Amino acid sequence: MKATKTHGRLVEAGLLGGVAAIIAAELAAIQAGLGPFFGVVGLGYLLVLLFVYWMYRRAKVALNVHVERDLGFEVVGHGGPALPRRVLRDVDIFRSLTDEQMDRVASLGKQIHVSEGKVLGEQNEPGYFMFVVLEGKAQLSTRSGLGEVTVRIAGPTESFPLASLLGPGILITSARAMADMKLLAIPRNSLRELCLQDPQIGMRIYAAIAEVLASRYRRTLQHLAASAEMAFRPADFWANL
Amino acid sequence: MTELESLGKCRLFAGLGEDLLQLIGTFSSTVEAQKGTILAIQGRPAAAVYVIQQGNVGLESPVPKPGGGNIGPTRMASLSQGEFFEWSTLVEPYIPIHSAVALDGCRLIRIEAEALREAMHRHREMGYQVMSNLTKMLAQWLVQTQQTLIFERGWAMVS
Repeated sequence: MKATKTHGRLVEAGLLGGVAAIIAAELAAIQAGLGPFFGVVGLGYLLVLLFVYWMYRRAKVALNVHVERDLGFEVVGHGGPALPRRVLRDVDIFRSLTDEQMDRVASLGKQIHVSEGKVLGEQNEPGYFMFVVLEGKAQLSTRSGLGEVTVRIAGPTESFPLASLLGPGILITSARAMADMKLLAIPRNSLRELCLQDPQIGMRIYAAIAEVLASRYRRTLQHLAASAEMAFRPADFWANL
Repeated sequence: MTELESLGKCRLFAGLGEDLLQLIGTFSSTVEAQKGTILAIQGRPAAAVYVIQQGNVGLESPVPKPGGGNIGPTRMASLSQGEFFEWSTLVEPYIPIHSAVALDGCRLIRIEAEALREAMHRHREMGYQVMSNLTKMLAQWLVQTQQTLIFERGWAMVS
């Protein structure tokens, strides 16, 4: 079962309700003169519940600090209204969103600064973020029999890796900062949750992704056809000798 | 297999409930195509998405010839039962990337593209689900084509 914000709120409510119930039971037991035994047992339950609640809150916070600590990114600002709309309006996957929808998506993320050479994703590993390039360029590459091959350079207003939003989010390319970069980092899970909660946003974003992928597919086919044409040239030469 | 079952098994419509599949059925029809029938022409706007109920369909593109012209249609992929084609009718600019030809006697479900796009806008969960499914497949095809291109270029460099 996928965890959602509603589930999270229910868990929190359950834990706090449990704490409240134990405190109430303790007070009732003291009033009924059953004090010492129930005091010890009740106190034990209370401590366990408080510990579970504390661990749950840490896990929630941990995901938010994941950007800063575990991935080594420097947070320089927040997404959403802090970013000028004219900057977001040209982003490839935001193009068909209304201003209000764009703000909702952008507010999920944080502006981060990464240094040249920073690895932003590894092929065949899960992608945790969708990045929007604000400044700088990222090199996207794939492993092949010939070694690491660059398939694309992502620049300002482009988003990557799109694969983080598809299925289990396993990346099909590796990404590395070619220069110092400023990015909008949107947690993949948050964006997918928003798409589920608001299917109009979901449809518009995925339609934009489909357009981007179809365009790349078309171009790759054209390159493939051009390769075939180049392969035929020597054959043409020998045939006309 | 009924039309509804075929639509349900198609990856493009994975995750859709029976009510939405029935809705798609209202603007779909079953068509038969003989071997060699041209079902779509690359570059020419298409009006329908097709799901293959029976038979095989080839996707073809021309390869340019040195000095101009094209070396006939070149088979890029072969599709069989349960697969779909002319998805480009769902993605702007709605122009087919490949031509499609029946490789043998086929039975196809023809889904009116404009009606499908309209239904996707009206029923947003459907629109989101279909687009989500389509993007997954597009990513797969893109990766496969890129790998083929890298392989071909590699051979060109070696030779």
